Amino acid sequence: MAAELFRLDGKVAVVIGGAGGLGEPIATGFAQQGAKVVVASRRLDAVQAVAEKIRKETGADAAAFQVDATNEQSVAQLVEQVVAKFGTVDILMNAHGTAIKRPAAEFPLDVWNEQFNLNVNAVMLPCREFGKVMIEKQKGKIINMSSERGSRVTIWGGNVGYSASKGALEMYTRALASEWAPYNINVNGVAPSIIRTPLTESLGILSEEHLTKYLANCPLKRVGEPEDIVGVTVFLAAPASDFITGAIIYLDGGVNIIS
Amino acid sequence: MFRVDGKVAVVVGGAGGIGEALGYGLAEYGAKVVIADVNAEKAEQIAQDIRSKFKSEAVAIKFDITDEKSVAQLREQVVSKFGTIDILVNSQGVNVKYPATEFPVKDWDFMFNINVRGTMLTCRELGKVMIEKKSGKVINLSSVRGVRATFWGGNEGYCATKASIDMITRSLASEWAQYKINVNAIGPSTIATPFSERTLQDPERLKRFLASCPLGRVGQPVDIVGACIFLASPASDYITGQILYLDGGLTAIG
Repeated sequence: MAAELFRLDGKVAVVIGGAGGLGEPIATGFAQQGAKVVVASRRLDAVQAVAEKIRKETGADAAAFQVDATNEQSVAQLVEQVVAKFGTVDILMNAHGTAIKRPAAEFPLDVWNEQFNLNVNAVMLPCREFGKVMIEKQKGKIINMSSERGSRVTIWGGNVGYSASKGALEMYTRALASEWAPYNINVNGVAPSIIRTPLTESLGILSEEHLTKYLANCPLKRVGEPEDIVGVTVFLAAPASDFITGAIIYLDGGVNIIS
Repeated sequence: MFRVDGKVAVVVGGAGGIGEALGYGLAEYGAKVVIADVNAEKAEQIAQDIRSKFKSEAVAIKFDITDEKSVAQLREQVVSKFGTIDILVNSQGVNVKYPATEFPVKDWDFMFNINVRGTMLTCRELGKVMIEKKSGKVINLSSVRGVRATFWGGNEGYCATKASIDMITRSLASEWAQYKINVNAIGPSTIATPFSERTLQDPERLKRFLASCPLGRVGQPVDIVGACIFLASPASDYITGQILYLDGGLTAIG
C-alpha cells in the first residue's frame, strides 16, 4: 500500500506552462510516475516538442494543446480538449508565470496589470474551469506555482508587482483549498526561491553579483536545479499528500527560515 | 527519487502509533530500520514483523531518551550494527493536560524532557554521525499545536513543546546546512492513534475538531507516512527547515 504513495498511474495530469523551465521537468516527472500528461502553453510548437520528448523518454501517453490562460474561452476549450482526449482530469499543475521588475515609484499600470493577469488571473481561470471536472468526480489535485517572494520580499528592489501577485496567488490557493475540501480536492502551492531556468537566466538572477547576495542568505548554499522541482510536485500530485491542503511548501534551501 | 534503499533510519519512539507506521513505511521504501523506544517488547515485535514482511534488516533498540548516556549509547549501537546513520525520525511525544492555573511543574518538566530535550539530545548525538559523513536527513514530529492552540483548554504545555520543536528544527536546519543535512518537521493534526484517544472518544471535542478541518476527517497513520518518506528521500534535497502540516487544511483556515 505504501508502495503506491508516489504513483500517478492512470491519472490525467495537465501542466500549464508545460514547456517552461519548471513545467517541462514537472510534466516529465508526472509521466515517469505513470500519469497521462497534457502540456499546454501559448507556444504550441514548444509544448508539442515537450510532449514528443516525454513520449520518447518515458513511453507515457502525452498530448500538447495551445492555451492562453488569461482568456476564458481558450481555457474552457482546453478543458474540453483534455476531456475529449483523456476522458477526465485528475491533476492540474499551474507552472506558468512571469516576473517583471520595475521601481515602485515608477511602476506602470499596464505592466502591473499584465503581471497580475499572467500570475493570478491565468491561474484562477484554469482552476475555475478544470475544477468543474474535479468537483463532478469529487476528487482532484491542484498545484499552483508561487514563489519565495509571495511571502518573503527581496532585499533588492523592483519586486512590488511580483510579490503582490504571488501573495495574491497564495491566498487564492488557500481559499480554494478551503472551498473545495468538501469535494476531496487538494489545493496546494510550491514556493521556490531561485531555480536555474531560462527565465531566471534571462532576468540576470543567476549572475555572479546577484547570486552572491542570494547564497549569503541560503543555508544550503546553492540555487535549485530543475530536478528539485520534481519531487515536491509529484508529492503534491500523489496519494502521499492526501491529507495536505491549503499548504505552501518552500523549495528554497532554507532561505525562509533565517534572518 | 523517493526510495531510501540501503539507508539506515532510526525511528525514535518507534513503538508508538505514528512511529510504528513510519518504521514500516521507511522499510517498505528500502531502509534498514532501527525501532528505538523505551518499550522494548513492542519495539521488538515491530522489528520482527518488518524483517519478515520486507525481508529487510530491522532491529529494536531499547533506550532512555531522558538519559544523555543512553542516547549516546543508542548511537553507538546503531553504528556498531549498521555502520552509519542516514535518517533520524523523532516520533516520540507525550501530552499531559492540566488547566493552566494548576499545571504541576513535574508534569511540565516531564513533557519538555521527552518532547523537547529528547529531540535536542537525539539530534545532538546522532547528528554527530551525519556531520562526519556530510549527509543526513532529520525529521521531527511537531504538530499543528505548535502554531494553533486548541479550543479546549489544558494544552499549554503540549503546545509550548511543539513550538520549541519547530524552532529546534529551523535552527538545526540553518546550522547543519553546511553539512548537507536536511532538517524538517511534520506537523500533524489529530491522528487516529492511542495518543489521541481522548479527543477521538469525546463527541464534543471530535465535533469541534472536524469543524476545524476542511477535509472533514481525522488523519490516519498512513497519512503521515508519505510526508516522512518524502522528507527522508532525495526528492526533498532542496527543502530544509520546514514544517509540513498534515492537517486536512486546519492551519490554512481560521
